[in-house]
Amino acid sequence: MVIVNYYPSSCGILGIIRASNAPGIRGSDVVEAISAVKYRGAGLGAGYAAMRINGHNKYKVGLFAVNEYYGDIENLITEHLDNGGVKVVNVKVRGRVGKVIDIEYELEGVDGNIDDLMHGINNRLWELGGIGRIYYWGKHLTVFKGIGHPDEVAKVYGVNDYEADAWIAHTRFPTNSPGHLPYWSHPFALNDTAVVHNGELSSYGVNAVHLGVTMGVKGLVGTDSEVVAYMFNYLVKVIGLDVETAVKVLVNPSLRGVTDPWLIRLLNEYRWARLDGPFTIIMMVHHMNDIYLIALADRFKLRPVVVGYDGQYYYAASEEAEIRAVSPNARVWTLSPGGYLIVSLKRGVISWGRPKEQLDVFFPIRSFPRPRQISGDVVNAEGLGYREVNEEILKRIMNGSRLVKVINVNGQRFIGVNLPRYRLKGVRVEIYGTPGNALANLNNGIEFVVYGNAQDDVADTMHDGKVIIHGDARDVLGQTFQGGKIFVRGNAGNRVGVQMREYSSKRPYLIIGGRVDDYLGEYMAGGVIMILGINAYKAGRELELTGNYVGSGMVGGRIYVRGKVDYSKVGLAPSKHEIKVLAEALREEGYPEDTFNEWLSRVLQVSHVPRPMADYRELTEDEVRELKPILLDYARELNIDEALIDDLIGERYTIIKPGIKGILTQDYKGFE
Amino acid sequence: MHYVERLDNVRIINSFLKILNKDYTRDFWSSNVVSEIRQMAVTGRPIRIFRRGARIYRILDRLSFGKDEVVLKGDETYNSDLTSYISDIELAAPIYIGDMSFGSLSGVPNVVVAEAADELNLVAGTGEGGLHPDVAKHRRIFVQWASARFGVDIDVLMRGLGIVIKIGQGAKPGIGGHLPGSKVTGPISMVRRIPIGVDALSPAPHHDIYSIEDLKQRIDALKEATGKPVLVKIAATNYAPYIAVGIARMGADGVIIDGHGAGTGAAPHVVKDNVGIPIELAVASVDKMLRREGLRDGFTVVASGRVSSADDAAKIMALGADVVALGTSILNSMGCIMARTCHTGNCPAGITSRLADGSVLVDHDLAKRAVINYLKAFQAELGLILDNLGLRSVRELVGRRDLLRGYCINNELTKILDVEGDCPSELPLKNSGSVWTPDYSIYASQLAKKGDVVISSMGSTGPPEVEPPKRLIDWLRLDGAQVTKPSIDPYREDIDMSVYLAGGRLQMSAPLIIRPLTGWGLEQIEKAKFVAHLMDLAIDLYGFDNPSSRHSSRIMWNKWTSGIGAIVLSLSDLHGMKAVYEYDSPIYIRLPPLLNPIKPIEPYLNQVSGIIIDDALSGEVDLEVSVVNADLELRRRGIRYGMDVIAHMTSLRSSGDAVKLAALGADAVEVSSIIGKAVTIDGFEDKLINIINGLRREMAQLLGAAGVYTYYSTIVGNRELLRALDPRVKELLKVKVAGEW
Repeated sequence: MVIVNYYPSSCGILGIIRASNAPGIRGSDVVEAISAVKYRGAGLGAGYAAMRINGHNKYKVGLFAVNEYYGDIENLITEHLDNGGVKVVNVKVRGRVGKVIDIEYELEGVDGNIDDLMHGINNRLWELGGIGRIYYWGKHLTVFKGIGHPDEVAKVYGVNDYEADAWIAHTRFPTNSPGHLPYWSHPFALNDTAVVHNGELSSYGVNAVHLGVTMGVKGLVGTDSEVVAYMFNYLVKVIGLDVETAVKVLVNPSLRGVTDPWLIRLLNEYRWARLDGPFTIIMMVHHMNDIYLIALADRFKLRPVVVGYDGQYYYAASEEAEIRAVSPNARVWTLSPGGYLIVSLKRGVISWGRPKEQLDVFFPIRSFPRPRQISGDVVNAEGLGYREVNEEILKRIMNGSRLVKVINVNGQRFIGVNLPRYRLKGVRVEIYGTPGNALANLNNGIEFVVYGNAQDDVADTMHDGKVIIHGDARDVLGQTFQGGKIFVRGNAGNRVGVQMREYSSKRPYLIIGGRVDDYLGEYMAGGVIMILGINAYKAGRELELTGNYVGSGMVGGRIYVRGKVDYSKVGLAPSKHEIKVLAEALREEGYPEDTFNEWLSRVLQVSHVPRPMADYRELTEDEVRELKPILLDYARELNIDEALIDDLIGERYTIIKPGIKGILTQDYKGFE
Repeated sequence: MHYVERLDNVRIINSFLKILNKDYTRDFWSSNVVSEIRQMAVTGRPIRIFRRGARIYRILDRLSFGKDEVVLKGDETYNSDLTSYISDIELAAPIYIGDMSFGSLSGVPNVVVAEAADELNLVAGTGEGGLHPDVAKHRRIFVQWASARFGVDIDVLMRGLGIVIKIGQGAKPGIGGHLPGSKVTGPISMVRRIPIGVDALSPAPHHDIYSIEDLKQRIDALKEATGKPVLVKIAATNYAPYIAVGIARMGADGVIIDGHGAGTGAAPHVVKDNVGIPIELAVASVDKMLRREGLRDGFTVVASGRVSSADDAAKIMALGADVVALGTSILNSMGCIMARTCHTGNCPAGITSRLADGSVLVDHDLAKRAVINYLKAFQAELGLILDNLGLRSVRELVGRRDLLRGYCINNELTKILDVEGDCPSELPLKNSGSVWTPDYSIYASQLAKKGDVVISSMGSTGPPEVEPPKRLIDWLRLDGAQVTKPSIDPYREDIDMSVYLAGGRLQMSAPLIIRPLTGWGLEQIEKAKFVAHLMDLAIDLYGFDNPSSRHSSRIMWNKWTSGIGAIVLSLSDLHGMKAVYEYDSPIYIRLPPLLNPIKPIEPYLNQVSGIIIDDALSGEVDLEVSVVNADLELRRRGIRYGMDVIAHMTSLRSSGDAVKLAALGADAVEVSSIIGKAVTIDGFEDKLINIINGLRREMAQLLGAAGVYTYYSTIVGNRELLRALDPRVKELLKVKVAGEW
């Protein structure tokens, strides 16, 4: 496997595991949840994997076989199994997908790991032109996958009627569909490990070649999930890393920030297994008599992922709408960039996906008004697509309504995107539920109020109006936001307020009540961002309110973060290790300490993008004059006590502004 | 002219300047090409058809319709119908005037192309700069939604016939738009809403589009907002067919594929030369896969990048494009002489000048007359080509690969193009001559001067198409991330370049090892040691004197001293002994490029940390081949991660070479001649620091462009990130051919 084949695709994903005291998860719930993001797929592939389905504990192997070759394939498999001392005790045809039949073998005599045996069969089937594929094996795992939307595939296999301890599910958006065979549908599974993913690995070439050259895995079908499943299985079940350590390798943190020699060593020893590129991965594994659900996000957090818990079940999903479809009141949070969730059936949560303290303070259980019915003329979004919802809203506005209420919203995207071309002002749209991505894009005068959490890409290229969110917002909130106000009561995710701008008399204000993740205000060119951390303030806890790389590449505007933001989190900080080495070199060369900063600036000098500056202080009078009315408006819109605003205004803030070319913003000592 | 009227002391260029004398190995737009375009711009008449390709290393030039060249008198008329469509929009001819922004162009040219499009019933893309008010008056424009959204609001979107979501461009796949600060003057700052004098660097990715389904979301949102057709513009890269199929499946009305070598106002020089694949291969494979998936009907494929004549256009259409885009040729027609100063704003022809008091600006009437003349002549040539081919309509030409003949087109190229072509004598893979062309000499001195990414303008002049290839590596291109994965912004985001050689004992900030030049005195060596340490790198002093014990931890040397970074031994130093030294330092073995470089060191595999393959030593094969074989052989033996492969390619001349060597299998590279080229005794230290910084930052650009966060785990040996432009190179280096699925 020197030259690899590769088929990019994208999708919506889901994982659910029960808490140890909860009953099994019904397939019908899984189907309903993944169907909530049907639009993330193209109807060209979907699938499910279930752990310990209906108490399953016999060794089983799933095979797709092209019908006309089935005889040959059966001989080939029997021969391989015989050689491996394994006996087939039962053969069951599970279904037919086009020209492919789906067969399940039950085995006896499996003693230990039969991966090599299975790889051998798959290699051979692939050499013969992809005439068949073993697509899962294990004692606890079952996979159902095929061509079609999730509900269609579920119907073929009767997924609704099963119950299991954990499930993962997938709906696929392939770019191309090689031969319309189910081989490329997800999940990918082997040896009681199953994986679904969303994104694309740029490390695929390295990962796949390694599997081929050193482990003899030659006939990969060419998808990222498959490679991840093989890698994870190898790390945990062959090399023997514990689940969390293996996840640490896969998630591939930037070594710029890592000082732990053990972790550096680990990452380098298994560098062939590190994953690069954008991904959200959801995995399920049966290991050492336990079942784990794992979700991981790449360190740039480029793919969406929402985590939920409702007292009985843990969820990981591409979109909140999936969780809400089956658990309307679950507490939800997100993975931090490079974060991972690990839930064990027996031991409970091993990793929450972000620091527990952050979770406790900033992601409490929230309840929002969720009227199923409201009196008067409201838009009921239940069962409606985004276009219908938008048309209903527009119709009401055109008929003279100044307040339009939309209830039962769950995942509909682009709400309000049809309105800007009518240049409407003085209109308020109230949304009850969880609106989908790209809410209020291009907004130029409408007020949107969300009673719930919003998802990604809210208020992209907004020029005027208001967006008020009572819950959280997710990633890329307010990209190229250029006028008006965005108020969020809860948190926002990654890349908030990137590329904000101001012009003539228009200055955008973005106020976040909670905290944010990485790259806040990246490329910012104007406007004001404030991060208040209200919950932490109320609880008297000093918690950092931002992730890393605050204001990276900013050329204008201001960011106010309540409390101290360590300067190492501002902009693209040089690596601590490199600065340490620099100081070492200077000492060895005999330069006096007082020249070190000059050297630092000489070595770090960039001509294109300087690092932002940060100042920790109280607000000036001018700033209070400018910001207080905005904050009072914020309080009014979100039902917050005005006295709290006075208190917050009196606090100290880290104020981040654009850097200046050639000016060193940090002493070398700051790194040591 | 709105903005011009407000400027003082503007100098108007109202006649054509003398064309610079450049032969076809120095510029794709050589003086011959430019003067022919100019002649058409002056006369409005066709010149010739079925031009014989001038460049044997350009695949499109090796294709022809099998007809002899016809020199025209200029008054010929054509009968064929040139009417084409983008979505449902009718065009008088299959011509889209490329997306050149206001800001990169000086305003007058933006207005001129919009006027020409209106007058001739073609279309013009506005690019990412926001709408010039005099452009906004015109109907036949496509407005652009790009990663920075410059100047975008609902009114601007509603002005266009359609919207182009720009994901990438051929000149710099995976890199965002770049308007240098010198060109961000008052008027531009107002339109783009960014501060004056600061580089306008659009994010490398769209931060709302990290995948296929995200792109679908943006297409749907723009359609919901405007009700207009939406095209998606991508650079031609490794996965172009999958991306185009994805775009079609997501309901876009068409795709604009921009090939390698396309023009730009400003882009990192090494990205221009090393990333992306030729338009002819991309179009052919895109068209084929769209058909296979049943998605070709009703979907428009626009091809751009190096369309220099109606002949180029006709051949690209025969390979599967519905429409071609013209950019550089349009600028040539209005007086551009390929001075390649767009990024400085000092355009002598007044086309890409900075917009400020005292600016040099092209005369509106001259430019307009010239562009319209050129487009008429271009259409006439295209019409005559069709007549000669016996086709009644240009739409009948689309996808007619059977009309094409090839020269030296075989193996994978035949599979991609469906064209065969014998090769009476094989094209040489390597030509003699120095790698230090004028362009790369300037590049090296810029690197030493600025210490940052070197920016240049207009299309690539790199190998193999323009500069004849001199090394195998000249046939390789890196991937640029488009749609299915996002590129990473290398200016503002954290790309991890660090390297951990010898099991982590030799940690470095980047995969670069300084290799001194033989002419250096002890003083320079001492300074280079200091710089290597200062910048967290290493220096390989094998065969040199080491003047002091300073900075030992960063030194690789053939003599052991206490605390030394690593010991380097050659095969002859080992004299066939069984065990190497028992010092507590990592040991590397220096080898010439051998077909199997692992064989001779078999006895020491458990004792050494790696090999240095050095083409300063005479070997059996090209260094690239040796590196690939070393990487694969070590993997096969299951010891790759305990054995480093370091490459010293004496001809290494850019960060592009360094990243390609890494993707072929090198953990780190030694750099020598590029340092020698740019570093002088005067200011030695500063220049060395700058070269290293520049290389490091440019490597991050190339990683980011490919959507890679981490050098060490992702790039090394990742040949899937590379594509070869000749099937023979695939055999040698185990790299797929560009355009292959």
